[in-house]
Formats: sequence, structure tokens, C-alpha cells
Amino acid sequence: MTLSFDEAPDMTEIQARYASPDPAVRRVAIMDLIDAGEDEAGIGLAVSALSDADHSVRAEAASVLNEFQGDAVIGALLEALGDDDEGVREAAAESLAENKDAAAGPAILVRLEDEDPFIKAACLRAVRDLRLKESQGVALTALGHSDPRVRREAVGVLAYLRTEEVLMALMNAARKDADPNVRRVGVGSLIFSKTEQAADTVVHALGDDNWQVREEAAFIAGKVGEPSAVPALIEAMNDDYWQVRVKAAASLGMLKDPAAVAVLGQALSFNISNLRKEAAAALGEIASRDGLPFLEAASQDVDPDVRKVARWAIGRIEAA
Amino acid sequence: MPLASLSNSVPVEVNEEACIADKGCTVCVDVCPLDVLFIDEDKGKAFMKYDECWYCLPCEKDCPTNAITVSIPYLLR
Amino acid sequence: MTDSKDETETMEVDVLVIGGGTAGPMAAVKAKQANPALKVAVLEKANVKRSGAISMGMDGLNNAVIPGHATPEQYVKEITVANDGIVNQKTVMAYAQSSYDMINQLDEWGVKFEKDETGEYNVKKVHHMGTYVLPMPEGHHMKKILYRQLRRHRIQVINRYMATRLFNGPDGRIAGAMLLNSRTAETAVIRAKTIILCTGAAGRLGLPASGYLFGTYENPTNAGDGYSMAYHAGAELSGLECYQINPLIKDYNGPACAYVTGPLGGYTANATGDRFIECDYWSGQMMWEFHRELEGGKGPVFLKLDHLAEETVQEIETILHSNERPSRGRFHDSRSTNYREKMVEMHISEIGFCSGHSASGIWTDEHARTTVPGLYAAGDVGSVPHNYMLGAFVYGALAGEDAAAYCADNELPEIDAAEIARERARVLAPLERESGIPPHQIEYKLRRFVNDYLQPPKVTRKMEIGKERFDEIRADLGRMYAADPHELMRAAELQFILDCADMAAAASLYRTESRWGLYHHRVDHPEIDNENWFVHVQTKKGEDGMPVNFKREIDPYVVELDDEDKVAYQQLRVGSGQATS
Ligand SMILES: Cc1cc2nc3c(=O)[nH]c(=O)nc-3n(C[C@H](O)[C@H](O)[C@H](O)COP(=O)(O)OP(=O)(O)OC[C@H]3O[C@@H](n4cnc5c(N)ncnc54)[C@H](O)[C@@H]3O)c2cc1C
Ligand code: SF4
Ligand code: SF4
Repeated sequence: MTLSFDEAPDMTEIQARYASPDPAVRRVAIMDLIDAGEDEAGIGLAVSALSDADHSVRAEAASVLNEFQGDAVIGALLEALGDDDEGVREAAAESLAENKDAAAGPAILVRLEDEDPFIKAACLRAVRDLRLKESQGVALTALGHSDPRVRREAVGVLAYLRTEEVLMALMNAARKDADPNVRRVGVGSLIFSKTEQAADTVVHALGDDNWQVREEAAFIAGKVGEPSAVPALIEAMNDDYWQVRVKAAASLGMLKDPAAVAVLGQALSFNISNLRKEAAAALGEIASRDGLPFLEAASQDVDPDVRKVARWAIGRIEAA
Repeated sequence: MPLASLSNSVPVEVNEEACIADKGCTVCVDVCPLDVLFIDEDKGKAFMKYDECWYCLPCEKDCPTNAITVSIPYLLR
Repeated sequence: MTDSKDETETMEVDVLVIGGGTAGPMAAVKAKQANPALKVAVLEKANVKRSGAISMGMDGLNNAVIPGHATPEQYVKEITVANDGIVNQKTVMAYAQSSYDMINQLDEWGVKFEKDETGEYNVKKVHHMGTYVLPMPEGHHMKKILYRQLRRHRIQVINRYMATRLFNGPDGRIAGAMLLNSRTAETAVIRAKTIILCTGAAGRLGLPASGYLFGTYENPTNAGDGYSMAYHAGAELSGLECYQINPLIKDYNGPACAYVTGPLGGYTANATGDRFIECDYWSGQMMWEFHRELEGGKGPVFLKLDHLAEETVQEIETILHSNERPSRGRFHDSRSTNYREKMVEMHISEIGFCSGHSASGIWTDEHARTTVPGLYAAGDVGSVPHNYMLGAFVYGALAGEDAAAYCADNELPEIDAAEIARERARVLAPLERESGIPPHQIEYKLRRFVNDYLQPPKVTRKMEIGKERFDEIRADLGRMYAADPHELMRAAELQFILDCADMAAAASLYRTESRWGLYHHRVDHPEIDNENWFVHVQTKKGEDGMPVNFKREIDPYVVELDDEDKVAYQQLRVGSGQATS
């Protein structure tokens, strides 16, 4: 019967199992640490298991350490980033990424100096959420790294810092990085900047070869909120991908420039209903009476969502 | 009332070669919300004892040796 | 192992949380934080590591009220309209006002919400009026994070014991619970100053169309335990005629995930590939439109994704096949359904009780208090409408904090020993018989009758016949036979399900009007009747042990619906009023 208040697993029993020559038994012993309290013995055992001869035991230790806190834990996980076994490395990286304790920052930054791209990327990811001032310099340097995984995480660190100083670097990544994923993230990171320069970069990205970069740019343009993006967005309403057009329509709605009414009105007869819906909403946001004829037609659309939004938009224009 | 037995095909299959229940593992048994997995003490292997599965997968995802495969129960497939 | 212990062990705590799924762990942690000196225990039928509706994680928040995207007032209005006005707005407001703090709390604990590149929450617009959807594309860590908090707060966890009944003290206050071990059939009693019921939905009320008892929408461990236990403890329940019915993938019985696919461009369509849902918010009205299309000439209904780009489909697959209900990909494979090529056939779920998706629950106020002193309810089993996961967390927290305060002012009540002995005998009886009817057979029959007689559209005479059938099944309980402790657990659950069936029938018969679209569509009372039925319908245990119903006035609104809102919403409902259908 287990109805008592003191049933933390018996540490000496776990330690005894860990002494087994059979790696499977050792692994199960380490798994059982998850039910143990946060005492020194448990942490000590998990840390020493990180240098077990068997990789499956090491991987188990790296993931169970996620449940414990403190310098020793962080130190051991940072070390494990260099493990020969991929499973161990990834478990350690994941545990580190979940750390929210800023006190771990300096140790992570030291480990970041390692040349191994996996270690670099994992450390950048691990400092990102901590938003440390000290990480700005290393992240800026890492933007020049040859491995796109490192550059991607570096953009993340800088974007989380949200400082105007790093804006140039982020815009550069958005415009020039060789990897489309990094460019996309770079464009996305501009969301915090309400400057004309940022808008220029977004406009540039609207002409990117990769449609997902263009889609992100079309989305971010509205958030940046600079009217200078309007002509490029109007052009984006002819993009080959309707996904880009949907985002462009939403941004045109946010920028509220009546110049967009004609192109949005035309979009109300495209065959993709998601786009018709967004275009109708944007016409409502712009609230120009020139939108009314298009919306009157859209209020009879086959798609109920389009009809609803069109009616809402008409109501808005008439109230304005 | 008298009782008869009726066999059912069950959705959970355990790869006995991979299963380390004999080494002390009970993960799948612990995590199953419906408590339908058991350890066969003679063989030292896990198995599905009752055909009452929500095909929710914690047993499969948490098994340290990937010994478990869950299929969709036949009646639903 | 069929032999159970003779003695019944006893343990004493300040706060007993029953159910360690979603609301439960939060309630325990918050009670402990409020007063670390309290003895707090979580009782869980399964294992807290993977129990409850969020067992494998969650795809996102459906109802996040985040400043800048939606206001509490706006949210309260939406929920009021979605529930045809029958809400205790104060409870909805209490949720809405705490929702943002709770998101931040979870974020701090390590829950990964979708964020933009700079780390701000990435709220998605799905509805027209406010923006409430916050995805969690990596939502599979949820239970791990909750377990970590239970450990760090040194909360006593008792796994694989189910509560079967609650005990009241001499003055009616809550006093404890009877426990049954599902592996050994051992019984135990926990005495407690307060009990927080977090036992989830009544997920095994209706029978899924597949006929598979455990192929339910809800996690089938949630059999309706809390509804039945609260009922026997004398608590008031509410809205039990307002069933939970959800759209889902046909046969697979998993959610359709409009909240995942919607922001990415997917939608619910009819056979011609067109949208047909007029109604804006998840509600009985929406289910009514769904039902009508399903049965109509343009039916059945599909989830349409085949117009999306390859990259988008891949993104959807990654989310849908890894969080929440990850076996879904396997189901589609076995039917050769590829999102790129074919629309996915949908259907509606069996009926159940759940406030997470509708409004049926144990009546609570804005502190999660039930009508029995010392007894709380939070999550799907409570009565706060459309609470979902975040509401379970918020109400778990409210309950935990209030229970901690209650403990300071109250002593541990006595429990009558004769009552313990009676309950123990009742629970163990099926195991003591030599032979009889196994619980799964009785359950199958009961739930088939629930489908035949209670499933909407509701017909008076059918529901009356249903009640007769349920009475006959009640008589069969005396012959129920459990071969082992596992079957004994199912036998105990069966009795919860039967109580729920009786309560569902009684409440549905009592409200002689139609409301909430499909949830309470009474064919022989097709009109909405605000003059007589603009009230809550409550259920309590009567003198004869069977449910009695009565009306409860709607509390004055804290947020009035101004005419403009009413008109805006009416416009959205054009042509879909149930009275005209
Ligand atoms: C498939 C699915 C998808 C969903 N998707 C979303 C979504 O995307 N977003 C969202 O916000 N919400 C979603 N929800 C709703 C949300 O998950 C629930 O509202 C919420 O998790 C309910 O929490 P709860 O604590 O009330 O119940 P649960 O988390 O289900 O916990 C109940 C617990 O009680 C235990 N228990 C039951 N009876 C007993 C007993 N007699 N004794 C001891 N223990 C007992 C159970 O084992 C279980 O662990 C979804 C629900 C489902 C089923
Ligand atoms: S979790 Fe895997 S290894 Fe462990 S007992 Fe179950 S099947 Fe065997
Ligand atoms: S899929 Fe879920 S219900 Fe089925 S055996 Fe695994 S854990 Fe249990």
C-alpha cells in the first residue's frame, strides 16, 4: 500500500542498480531518477551517467537532467553537447534550450566559443530566451558563420534582444543570406522595428525567389506599418502563390491606403475563398466607399465566411 | 449467468527482443491511461492484456527501446 | 489477486485533488503555493505523467484572452452569445481576467507557445470579433512540465487509485473520499478538509459510431466519475441537457482541428468543397449547421486541405501527427487518405458532458466552489462554459487558492464508519460474485441505448423509453461480475456512466424548448422559449435517489450585450436560426 507522504524512490537502491554491468539495467535506473527529489545524490548520479560507456545511458541522463537545476547540471549538459553520439547531443541541446535560469548565461557563452557548429547553434539557442546583453556580440559574429544552423540561431538571439543596434545586421540577413530559411527568419525578426529602413528590406524580400520568404514579408509589411510598402504589396497581389496574396491583402488592410481598393476588389473574384475573405476584410479596414460595389457582390459569395466578412465590411464603411 | 470467452485482436504489439521489462522497465505500463498493458512476469516482457485502447500513443513514444507499435483498433480502421 | 484486503486504510490531508490531468496538477500546485504548510495530495486513476485529455500534449489554446488581441469584455460577450445567453457571466469573466497571467505562468514553466521571431506570442485570428487562438506547435511537453511542478512543490501523488464516492461530514461539508486500486482492488479512505474534483469530461456516455467502447472523442478514462460523485455528495449540477458533441474525423474520432488548419488555410467543407458554416463561434449552433449538412444533399462533411501548398501540408502533418492525437497519420494511411489529394471525411462525435467544449458541469461560482461546502470543481467537469485547456488551468488555480484559504478556517470533519462500510461493500460486490454479467457487456448495452434514445434531435417519447431501459440496467447491477481488479474498475465506471445517462435524460426532458442548436434540439418543442426557459436547468439527487431538476435564475450580466453586438451577431446567423429549421 503506498498511501504515505514519504515515498520518494530509494536512492541507495537506484545507485545499486546503476552499478550493474548491464547497460539496460543502468539505463532503467537513470530513468527512475525522474521520480526522485532534487537532492545532491540524484543529480550526482545523473551527471556521472553522462560519461557512461553506453550511449543509451548517456542519452537518458541528458534528458533526465532536464528535471534538475543548478550549475552542476548546466555544466554537465554543456559538456554533453560534444558527445560522439547524436542522440546524446540532441537530448542535451533540448534540455539546455528549456533552461530559463539566466545564471547559466556565462557558462553557455564560454561553451559557445567552441568551433563545432552543432555546439555553437545549441548554445545560441540556449541563450536566446535569456535575452542577455552579453550575447549580442557573439551572435553578431555568428551571423558570418558558414553553417546555416548557426546563422539561424544567431538571428534568433538578436531578434529576441529587440535593439535598434542590431537592426542593420538583421536586415542584412533578410536580404543577403544564402539560406532561404535564414532570410525568412530575418524578415520575420523585423516585426519589432517601425522604421522606413525595415520597410525597405521587407519590400526587397517581397521580390525574393522563395515563396515562403515572400509570404513572411507580405505578413510583416503590415506589422512594420510603413506606408512606403504599399506599392510593393499591391504588386504582390499578383504573386504566383495565393498564400502570398492572402498575407499581402491583410497587410494592405492594416496600412489602410485607399490606393489598394482596386486590386483588393479584383481579388474578390479569385477562386480561392481564403483570399476573397481576407480581401473583403481589408476593404472593410480601409473603409473607402469605392470598395462598396465589390463588397455588395461579395455579400452573395458561395462561401459563408466571405459573405459574413463582406457584410461586416459594408457595415463599417457605411458607419464611417 | 455462465460466462464464455471471446478472443480479440489487440492494437498494441510488443517487440519482445527489444523490450527490457526484464531489466526493470515498466514505462509503458505506467503511462497507459487505460491501464491495459501488463508485464508477463515469466517472460519479462510487456503485453496488452485488455482490448481497451484509445490509440493515444504514450506507451509507444515513451518506450526507451522503441519496442511498441500501436495500430488503430480494427473496428475503426 | 482477486482477493482484496479486509481493512480499509485511512490517510488525512488538507486538500485532496481528484484527477491529475490538466486542472488537477495546477490546483495542487496553487494550493501549496498559497500555503506551503498544507498537506496536498493528487489522486489519479491513471498516472499523472501521462493522464487526462492533454496526455500527448495539445495543439494550442482556443481561447487565449491576450491584451492587444482581445479584451475580457469582448470574450464574455462572445461566450454569452455562443451559449444563447445562458451563462453565469461572472465565472466567464473570472476566467478571461486571469487567462493572460496563466499563459505567462505556463510560459515561465517552459510551455512552448508559438512566438514570433522576437519572442512575442503569435496570436492567430480565426474568429471575426476577437483573436483568441495561440498555437503550440511543440505542445507535447505539457504533461512533463506539470509533473516537474508537482515534484518541485513536493506534492503527494497517488497513482492508480480511483475515487468511487465522496463522503460528507455530519453537517454536510465535504469530508473525504473512497478509493479503489485498479491493480489490486485494495480500498482506502482519504479524509480531507477540501476536495477539488478535476476528473474531466463524461466521455463514455454515448457510443462511438464504430461501436468500439474506447474509441471516444474524450480520453475514455474520464467516464463521468466526477459528475456522479458530486451528484451523490448532494451537489448541484447544471446544463446537463446541453450535451457535448464535436465535429471529428469519421471513425478515427479525433478532433477536426479547425484551430490548427484554419490559420493555415484549411476549412470544413461540404461534398462540393464549399464552406457552409455560418455560425462564428464553436457552439451548438455550429453543430446544428454541421449536422444539417452531414445529413443533407450536399453531405457528408469534409476537412478540406487539398488546395494548400505542399509546404503547408507538411507543416500541418507535422503538427497534427505529433501532438494531441498522433495516431491520426496512421489512421489516414490505412485508408489511403492523403491531405494533398483527398478531402478527409468528417462526422460528429457521440454525446457527452463537458464544459470544456459546451457547458454541462458541476455548478460552480467564480471561485470554483460547488454548492457543497469544501467541495470544488475545475476543468471539464465544472460548469464554466467553453473553458478548454486554459480554462482548466485557470479554474484549477482558482480552486487551489480558495481551498487553501478554506482549510485555515475549518477542521477535518468526521466520516460515519457505517457509510464507509456500505460504500466499500458496494464497490467490491462485483468481484465477490462467482459469476454474472461482465461490465463491458452492460456498458455496451447502456451506451447503445444512450445513442438510441438520448442523442439529438431529441424526441420526448424516446427519452422516456430510454429512462425505462436505464432502470432495467440499474436492476442488472446486482448481477454484475468482475473477474479481476481491472474489471472491477470498469464496473465502478459503469455505475458512473449510468448515473450520467439518467441525469442527461432527466435534464433534457425538463427543458421543454429547443436551445443551443443541435445540443438541445427537441423535435416536439422546436422553438426557443425565452419567456419560460431563459434560466439554468439544475440537477440534484432527489429523495428517492433519482435526479430532480429545477430552475436557477441567470445572474445579472456583468457585461451587457448592447444592441449593436446583438445585431452584429444576428447578421452572422442569418438563415440559420433553429426555430425555422
Ligand atoms: C482530443 C482533444 C483535443 C483537444 N484539443 C484542445 C485544444 O487544442 N485546445 C484546448 O484549449 N483544449 C483542447 N481540448 C480540451 C482540453 O484538453 C480539456 O478541456 C482540458 O484538458 C480538461 O482538463 P481536465 O483537468 O478537466 O480533465 P483531464 O485533463 O482529462 O483530467 C482528468 C483526470 O482525472 C482522472 N480521473 C478521472 N476519473 C477519476 C477518478 N474517479 N479518480 C481519480 N482520477 C480520475 C483522469 O485519469 C484524468 O487524468 C481537447 C480535448 C480533447 C479530448
Ligand atoms: S516501455 Fe518498452 S521496454 Fe519498457 S516494458 Fe514497455 S515495451 Fe518493454
Ligand atoms: S495507445 Fe494509449 S491506451 Fe493504447 S495501450 Fe498505448 S497508452 Fe494505452
